[in-house]
Amino acid sequence: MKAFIKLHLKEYVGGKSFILFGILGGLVTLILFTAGEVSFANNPTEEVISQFGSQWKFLSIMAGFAAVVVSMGTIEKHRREKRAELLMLHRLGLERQMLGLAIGNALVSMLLSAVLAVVLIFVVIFAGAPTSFIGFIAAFLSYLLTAGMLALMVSVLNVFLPSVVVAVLGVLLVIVGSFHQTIQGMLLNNGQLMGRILAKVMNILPPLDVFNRLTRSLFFLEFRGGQDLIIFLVYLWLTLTIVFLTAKRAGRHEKI
Amino acid sequence: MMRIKDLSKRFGQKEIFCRLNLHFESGKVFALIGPNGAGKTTLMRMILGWDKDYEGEIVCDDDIRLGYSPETPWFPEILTGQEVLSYYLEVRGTDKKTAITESARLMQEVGLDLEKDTLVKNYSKGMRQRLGVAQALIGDPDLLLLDEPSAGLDFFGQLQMQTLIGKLKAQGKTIILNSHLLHDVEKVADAGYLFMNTHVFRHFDKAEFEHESLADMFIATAKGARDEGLY
Amino acid sequence: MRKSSVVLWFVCGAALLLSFCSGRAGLVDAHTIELIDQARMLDFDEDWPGFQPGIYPLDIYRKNLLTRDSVIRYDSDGLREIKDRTPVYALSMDVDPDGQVVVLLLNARDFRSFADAGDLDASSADLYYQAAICHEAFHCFQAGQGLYDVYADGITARDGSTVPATSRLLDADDEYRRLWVQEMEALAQYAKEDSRQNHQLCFAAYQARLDYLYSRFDDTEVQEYLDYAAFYEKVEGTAQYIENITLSKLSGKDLEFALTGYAEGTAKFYSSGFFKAFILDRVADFDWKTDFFNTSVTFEDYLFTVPLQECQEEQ
Repeated sequence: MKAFIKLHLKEYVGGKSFILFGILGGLVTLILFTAGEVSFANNPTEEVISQFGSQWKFLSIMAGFAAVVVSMGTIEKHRREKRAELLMLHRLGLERQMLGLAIGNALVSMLLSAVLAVVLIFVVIFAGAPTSFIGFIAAFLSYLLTAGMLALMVSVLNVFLPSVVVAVLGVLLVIVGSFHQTIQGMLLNNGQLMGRILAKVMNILPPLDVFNRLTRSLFFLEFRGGQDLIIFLVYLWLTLTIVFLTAKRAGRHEKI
Repeated sequence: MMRIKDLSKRFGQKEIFCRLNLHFESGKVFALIGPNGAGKTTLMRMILGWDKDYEGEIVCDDDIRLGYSPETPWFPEILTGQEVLSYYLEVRGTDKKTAITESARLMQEVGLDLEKDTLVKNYSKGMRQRLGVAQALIGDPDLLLLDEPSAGLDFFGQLQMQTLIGKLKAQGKTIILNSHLLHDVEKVADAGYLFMNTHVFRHFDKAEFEHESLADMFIATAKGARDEGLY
Repeated sequence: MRKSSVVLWFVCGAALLLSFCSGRAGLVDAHTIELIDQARMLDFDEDWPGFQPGIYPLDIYRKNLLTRDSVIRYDSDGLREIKDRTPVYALSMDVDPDGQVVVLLLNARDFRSFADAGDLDASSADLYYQAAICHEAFHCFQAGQGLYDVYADGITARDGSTVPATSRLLDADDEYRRLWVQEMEALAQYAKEDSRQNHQLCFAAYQARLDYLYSRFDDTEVQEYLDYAAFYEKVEGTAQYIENITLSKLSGKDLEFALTGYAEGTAKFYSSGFFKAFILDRVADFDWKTDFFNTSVTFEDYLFTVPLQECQEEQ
């Protein structure tokens, strides 16, 4: 499976996309650092916190979109190009192919997310930030894992749905997920029965904003309570379980 | 080497094979010929174990190793020819160093050693087909299944493929060849099976097409079948 | 995958789910209660005599993962679930079915989730949460002072009100916006430095905005809009004033920190009311807070018609 994943990385980690994502991430970072005063509820907030916080927020959303773009069509492509049969002949079963594709997508998404954050990394190293080495690494890891998790989810969707539908669902997943708690709050706030039901249904979607808050908490060394970490791990566990089960199903039914 | 007993296969309402019996001896080149849709590729998929939805039996010798080259093999476009073979070798669990040595040997075997560092996307159709055969040779198979290896090749490409099949036969490989190119089959096959449809089917061997061309045999079979209302 | 690995994997999942559920166990989490208690204990006697945030019951929204969400009442009797009420996910003042004014509240985590746009750290979120509790408790206080009896006819939802149409037109009016900003800056200047000149600047800016309003709308429309603005400045401006004082008390910053910016759009009366309350605190030579809610007096009445310290001295 190592060779299979390596080829996946080689195919999707092209120089052009790296440069594009690096520039995009850099632009966002620089724009946000020069965006000026930020306020919350009519009160000015701590500039350094709001600036780094906004950086993580925007980069996470962009990383989410990158994960969707990377993963939305890989399984369909694998099927269309009839790659599976020769691989099976060379002893790579469908279960491991499915796992390899999902893991490959997650790794590519994580790599692209890292490229998006390159300028931020430079800023943290050379200009300083209210964090420590461990805090930064932990925050960066949770940021990368969020993108990876999203890639896994989109990969599973692509097993059952065509790429176009997956693209739409993936974008919705990122948008709704990034404002999950706010949207859920608004649904509950209107007090209607339908709003309350929809708010419950929303629990199925990953709360990317909570994951992003975890990233920021780790970055600002204000890790408290661990509830956000547990929520993150629960979703990660569920995602991995679904990926394994989907791979098992591919192996059993002999089709991805 | 392999025996197919009472094989029946349907695709929905359409019957593809009805109690088909075939026999493949080792060290020979067998050709499967017939019109499109007669079930030649389906038969190969059943032999490979990718299509298990059939009745009857496919009995092979113990520990038989299979190699397969599809009609239009997919290769990673970003790799060179040799890297493609290394890739499949590594997928099988071969270590990197051995994979490089073995892939170089296979490239030489199919006559692609001069193009081993060329990206696959720049390969001609003939080179791709030969790379497909090289891929099928990974793992030193006893039985090679080649699906339309000469399809779409120019005269020179067809000659190269014939030579390659002859060379593999000389090495003692058993080859089942799927082809539309009758003169190609006449050059390389020792025996074969002609499929017209479920009910019209015949075995032939080299001795027969020394007297009668495959094309004539094909036409005569079709005529006879039409007279009997079977085709 | 080996059987033992599968078992281990599902054991990990079960452990995670258990930790997740235990984190939500109890009626309200300890951190929220800690923040609420801190906020309710704050002493506002010198800031607004009579206001005690701790005396108003809190109805906290409790999210349940699978079952129906519920309301948790927190008052002097402690915590208890109220089962027969539809919870409202809001930070607000409300009157419960028994006629009791209560503060509707979220827990601290939900507050942060709802409000956070990526620019909040945990400590700031906690501070704003506590400030919001005092803000809403102050609305309860206003109700207790008779504010809603004074405005019993209603301001915003009055039938046939011209205010919504006027507001819409003014929101799109660049000149009006310019005049509003000019007035806000004059107020900020006056808040920072009490002088006759700054008082006059404020008055001139106010007058200029008033003149513009009369030039665009008829007298009834202007009067209705001014009544609406005055009401909101009174209700929300003073609550914002208490909110900012809370932030100042908890963070140790001088209250002047809140003069550095002001809101626009629908929240603009929060800022203008706060600026005016801040100015009156500094310059009024009378107790402007007594009878502020039980009469229809406005900030303008006090700022521009009642002589103030500095002005009197100069006169």
